[in-house]
Amino acid sequence: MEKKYWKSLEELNNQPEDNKSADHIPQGKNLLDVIHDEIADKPSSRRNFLKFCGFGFASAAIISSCENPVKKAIPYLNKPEDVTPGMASHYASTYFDGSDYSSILVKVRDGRPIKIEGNALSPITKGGSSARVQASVLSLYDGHARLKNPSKSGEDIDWQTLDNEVISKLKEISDAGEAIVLLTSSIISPSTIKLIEEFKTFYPGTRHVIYDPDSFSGMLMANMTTYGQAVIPDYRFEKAEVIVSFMADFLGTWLNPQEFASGYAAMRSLTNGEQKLSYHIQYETGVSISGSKADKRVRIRPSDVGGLLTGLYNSIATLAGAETLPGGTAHESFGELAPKLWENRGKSVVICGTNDPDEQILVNAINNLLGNEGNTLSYATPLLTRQGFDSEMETLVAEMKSGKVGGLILWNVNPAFDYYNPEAIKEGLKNLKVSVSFNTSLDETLGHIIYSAPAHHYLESWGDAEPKKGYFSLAQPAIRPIYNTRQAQESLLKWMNSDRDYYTYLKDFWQSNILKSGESAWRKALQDGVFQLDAAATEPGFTGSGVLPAAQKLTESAETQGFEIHLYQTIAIGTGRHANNPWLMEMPDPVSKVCWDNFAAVSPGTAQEMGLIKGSMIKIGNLELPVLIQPGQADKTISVALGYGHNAFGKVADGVGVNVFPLSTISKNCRTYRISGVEPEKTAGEYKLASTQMHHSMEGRPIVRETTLAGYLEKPDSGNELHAEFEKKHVTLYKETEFKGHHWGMAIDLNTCIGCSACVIACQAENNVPVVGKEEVMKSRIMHWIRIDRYYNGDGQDPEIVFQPVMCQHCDNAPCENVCPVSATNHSSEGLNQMAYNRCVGTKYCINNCPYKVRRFNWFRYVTNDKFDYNMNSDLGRMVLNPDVTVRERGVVEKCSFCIQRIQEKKLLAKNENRPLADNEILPACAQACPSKAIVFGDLNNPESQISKMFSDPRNYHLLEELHTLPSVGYLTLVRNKPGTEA
Amino acid sequence: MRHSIATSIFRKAIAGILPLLVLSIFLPAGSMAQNDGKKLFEKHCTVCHKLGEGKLVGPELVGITKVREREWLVKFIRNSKELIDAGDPVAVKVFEENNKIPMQAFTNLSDAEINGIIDYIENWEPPKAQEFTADVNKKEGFTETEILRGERMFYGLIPFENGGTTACNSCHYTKNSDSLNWSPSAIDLAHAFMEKDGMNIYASMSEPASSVMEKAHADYKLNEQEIYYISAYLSHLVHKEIKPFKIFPTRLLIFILFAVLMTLALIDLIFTRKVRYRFIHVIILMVGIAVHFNIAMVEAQNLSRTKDYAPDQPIKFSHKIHAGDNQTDCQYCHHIADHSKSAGIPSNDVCMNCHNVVQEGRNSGKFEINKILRAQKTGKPIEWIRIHNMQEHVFFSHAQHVNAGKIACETCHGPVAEMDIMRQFSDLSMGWCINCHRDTKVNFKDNEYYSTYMKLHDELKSGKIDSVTVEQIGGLDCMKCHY
Repeated sequence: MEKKYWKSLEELNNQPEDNKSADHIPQGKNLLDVIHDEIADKPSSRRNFLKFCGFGFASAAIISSCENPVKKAIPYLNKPEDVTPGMASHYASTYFDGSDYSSILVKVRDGRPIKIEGNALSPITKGGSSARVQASVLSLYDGHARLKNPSKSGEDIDWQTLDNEVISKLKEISDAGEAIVLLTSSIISPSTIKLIEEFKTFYPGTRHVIYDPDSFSGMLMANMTTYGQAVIPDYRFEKAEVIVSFMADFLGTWLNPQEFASGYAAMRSLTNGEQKLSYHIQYETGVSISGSKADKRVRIRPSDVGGLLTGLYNSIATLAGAETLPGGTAHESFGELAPKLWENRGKSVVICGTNDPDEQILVNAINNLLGNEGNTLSYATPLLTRQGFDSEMETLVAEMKSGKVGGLILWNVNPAFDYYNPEAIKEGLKNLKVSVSFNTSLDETLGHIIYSAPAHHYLESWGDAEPKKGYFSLAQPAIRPIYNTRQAQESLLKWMNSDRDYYTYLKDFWQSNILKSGESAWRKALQDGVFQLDAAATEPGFTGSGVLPAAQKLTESAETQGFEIHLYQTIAIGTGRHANNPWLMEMPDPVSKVCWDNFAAVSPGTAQEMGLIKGSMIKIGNLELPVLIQPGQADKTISVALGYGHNAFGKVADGVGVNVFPLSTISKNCRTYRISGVEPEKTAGEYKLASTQMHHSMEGRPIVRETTLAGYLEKPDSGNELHAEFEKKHVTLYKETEFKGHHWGMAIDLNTCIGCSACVIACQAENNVPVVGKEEVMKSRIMHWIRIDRYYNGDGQDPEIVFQPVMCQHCDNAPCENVCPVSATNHSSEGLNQMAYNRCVGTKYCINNCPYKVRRFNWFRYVTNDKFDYNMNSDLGRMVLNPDVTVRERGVVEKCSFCIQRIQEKKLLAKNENRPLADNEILPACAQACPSKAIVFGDLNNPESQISKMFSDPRNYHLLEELHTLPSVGYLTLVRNKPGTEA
Repeated sequence: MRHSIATSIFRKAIAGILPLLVLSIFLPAGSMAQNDGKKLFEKHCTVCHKLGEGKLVGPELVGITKVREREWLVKFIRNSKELIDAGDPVAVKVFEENNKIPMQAFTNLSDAEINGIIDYIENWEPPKAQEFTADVNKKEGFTETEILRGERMFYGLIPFENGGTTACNSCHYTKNSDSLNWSPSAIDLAHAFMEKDGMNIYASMSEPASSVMEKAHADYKLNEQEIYYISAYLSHLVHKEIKPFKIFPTRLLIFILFAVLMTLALIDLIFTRKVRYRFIHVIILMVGIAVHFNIAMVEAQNLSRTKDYAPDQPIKFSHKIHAGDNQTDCQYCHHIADHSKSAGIPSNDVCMNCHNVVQEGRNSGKFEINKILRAQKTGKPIEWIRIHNMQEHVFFSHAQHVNAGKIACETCHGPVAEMDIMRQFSDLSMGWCINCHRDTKVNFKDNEYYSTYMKLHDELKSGKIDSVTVEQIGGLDCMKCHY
């Protein structure tokens, strides 16, 4: 009955994993060369021994007569009313980087933001967050890449000079009747949109062009054709019983993944007595986290999408008795899928991740056929986070080239990096009379711009957002500007000769247009961070006239032969905006487990065909890429991540990976990220990727438990029969520990965990976990306290994929505690496996004896060592450190503490307020960050708590429970909605 | 002898005061008030009004008699609220112009006294700038001879022309610091006088600012030239720093002495063999080893422990006066101790709550308090020296102990109300923490938080235990303090 789970192809085929082979063990004086070369080289003799003894003796005598350093305590001169030294305050704000929206709370300790949390009041993100949101606080303290002063052609100037020069140039251009273009990413700030309108009237001839590197103009155009509105609908996965996704990684990177994840999880949860699951089928090329979570995953080539969509339309049309369309490919899965969709009409959703207007029209046609508008997707409250039309950008580039544009103002865009033809951009920028950039940090475009008027980091700015029609949110600064920067909106106001600051502008705008009320409403909105207007919801009617031509066009585009390339975004780096963030760079991709690189993913079959092995390199066009053999990849396809390969973006991002944006092209007036007709060649090069997939392996024991929906309904402990069996055998010779107060525990629902890794970064931010760099990751020295294990099962070509977050299991009978010679790790009276860093002597016995491999050793003093230049070794970078968590010293072991600092904080709060702790009041960083609420933490001694209920769920099991380690972490069996009763 | 002098002074004083007392009975109250207009003004009005300094809390009063009727002024001073409530338009206007802060009523003052105050305001003239022949603004660029001469005078080696023999440095120390001396150190003085916009040494010497200084300087009548030399010396001192008093390293010397002795004994024992009796070597070695071990152990235990640490603070602040004599509650100043980890060094504005009014201290006159006022003016906060430094890797919360645990401040900080100079009372060692956690009983039944500790409640009920200590609720867990 045991199904085999495996982590890598080598494991599946019983080949040696190179992480474990002899040559992997660090050779020579790897550690010593950093500590002290001299000592390592000198032969140790009796004489040396005595020398060191004498030295030690003398230094002991000197130290004992030493004085302690004088420390100063400097209080405030006038203490601000709302700041209490030693206590954190939270400010509601908004994260929007041009594509991802999140309503957030900024945790500020003594004037510096140190952590971002989701805002639970937000109806969109519901308190969840993502890895990028979590990591964004680190970019505030990027002392290297952030722009510190306004500049002209690279020379620092003052704001007054810049203003004078820019205003006179803009006047000149405007008076001459030439065009000024404001080139921005999607702007969802209603006050900014109004401001831009005013700017346009002030400088006639100004136009606003929106450019999104991850373009959705195909969908905008399609919706214009079929619904008469160029908008993106509001998807409601919490209502979708059948989800069909073509190439759309809606849980990871597509549109608004945070919101989708929480909606999706609501339909995948079985913890509250639900008797059904949504059915999710994913058609995709590379493996995404959405594909991994799907009940059925179908490997397709990128060019198959059009045909399959027509085919699916026809299958449903036949059932609905509607007219079918010409062309279309039937897929074997449709036989089952089409009736399922038809049965669940109005409760299903079909989405497609390609940027092809015709394909999107067909998606609309299918959703219309199924009557999904107004139910699982709505055009009444459209999503506004993507507004760019690629055709406008094309026109702009052509005009710039021919010298028709006089001035260009860039804001949050980096076309010299992410436009498909960066040379055209650079050439065009040369033809301008004036070019200004508002960008906050270094980028590739900056070198070709005349004026740089750096804007504040978003945590230093005022702002607002309307991510969805009628859903508003506000942003407020959480720190005074660190550098001599100025809010972009304020620059625009200055250039309109206005004396108003943007704060007043924003407040006036909100009070007269949104709140329509006075001071108290404004304060309330600012405190909550979100505000909702009830808009009259009317769904536009569907016009079917565009469907037939679209289908015909799709038939015309013939099937391609040969290799196809699919350019995707990783959940960490996205389009590369955050590539200079060390936390995100070192976050292993949930599926490939690779960090610090992008690569060409090929299927095992293709690899065999081309003679590729691990470490090979291939050439696509003139780009050479390392190969990753990815089980589940479609044959004869290559998936490559965008956003890597920066060259002037900052010291972390530069030179990491290859920029594949130039591979993308324009087709049907839209950026396309699918390329066909390329013949990759194997080159002689070799390359080692930093992959964590085989780190901390648990050696193939029954770690993931899985069943099917039918099996679960028949027998709730299906797939988890072992648990009861092991429980019966729990006998011990020793006295069992009794927990008289609290007994902390954590439960993780494998059904709702989507592998998004927000918890990994949240933990890193909360617990001062260092970044170690690619070299160290390759030596299995990554420091993350929580990792997402990814298991494959099934055949090597097309496996199923399971994610499992693993952190310290806080065993009540912990193997690590018994072997510590100095008792640095022991058990607390509340069931925590404690780690006393100041007692640890670094024997690493505990690491060896931990069956879960969750303990990490500090090989270096990362905060002061300049070899680890990842924002933690500078005074500015260290400001992000959480003062409530010790920064670990070299030579000690560390691991997950269940966020003990948060437990202590909430316990104290309850004591001071003279009340018992509420259930779910204590939230460890991982649980708080989780967008799908898959992690639950609480007191096992409280029978009413959610955690106790989850522990008594028949699906609950513990990792390696047969070892009788009695972990305090439980996992709930994964239940997939697929036929049969056994997974 | 001394007694007789004291009594004679007392007699003289009685003789002087008696006629005055008698006179005052017969004198009409009016004339007295007129004389005392200045004193009354300083007593009642200066908190909110300062003549010639513009608007403070209340408006500027110079020239007020030209704008307002005297009758109205008397009424307003006696009880402004009455006038405002009665709807007097002028009173309402004044009230509104001054941020609607009502003026205190002075119903206990007689008409004559109020008139005396008004007279004082009417006749007030801005103090004439004192005229000096020396360059009062000179803060640097003195010649070496001038500095040297100033130094001699400061040390009392050259007598002052108009008398006064005690050296300046007998109160204003220049070498080792001594916090028991309330007078400012020479370097403190140097900073106060020599800083940009600092105090004027000529003015303060000719007209002492506080009664404490007046008393101490009673004998000194320095002429301008002498002040000039002193200021030259002070300008030289600005760049110096007072070194705290260093204890002679006796233990280290003993350590070294025994090390040498033991080496000699060993050499003699093995090579030279000068001393015939072996037991001498053995005794030296045994005693030496014992002494070494003892010193090593004691020093190691005390490494980075700072019990009784009492550094000089930038202000000669006395907890005895504040918490002891004046009975100020600890948490009036350290008010965040109730809900934060840190007890908090009070910010300058907290000091200003009282010292806005109390501008002269009992011990140090105006000099020390002036530092707070000056910080407020210059915007540079006071840089206190931190006394209680927890060991690294410890998370200690005042809120936990003060608020939840209801521990008195004195338990850990000692008799602060008796300390003129604040010092560290407990050694803040782990053993000290642990012992307290072992012994201290938790307020178990009264705090609702503990209601979920069912097992302990059962044990209490069954009489298995009679109270719950901190230890029993996890007070000895490593991660109680180390995380």
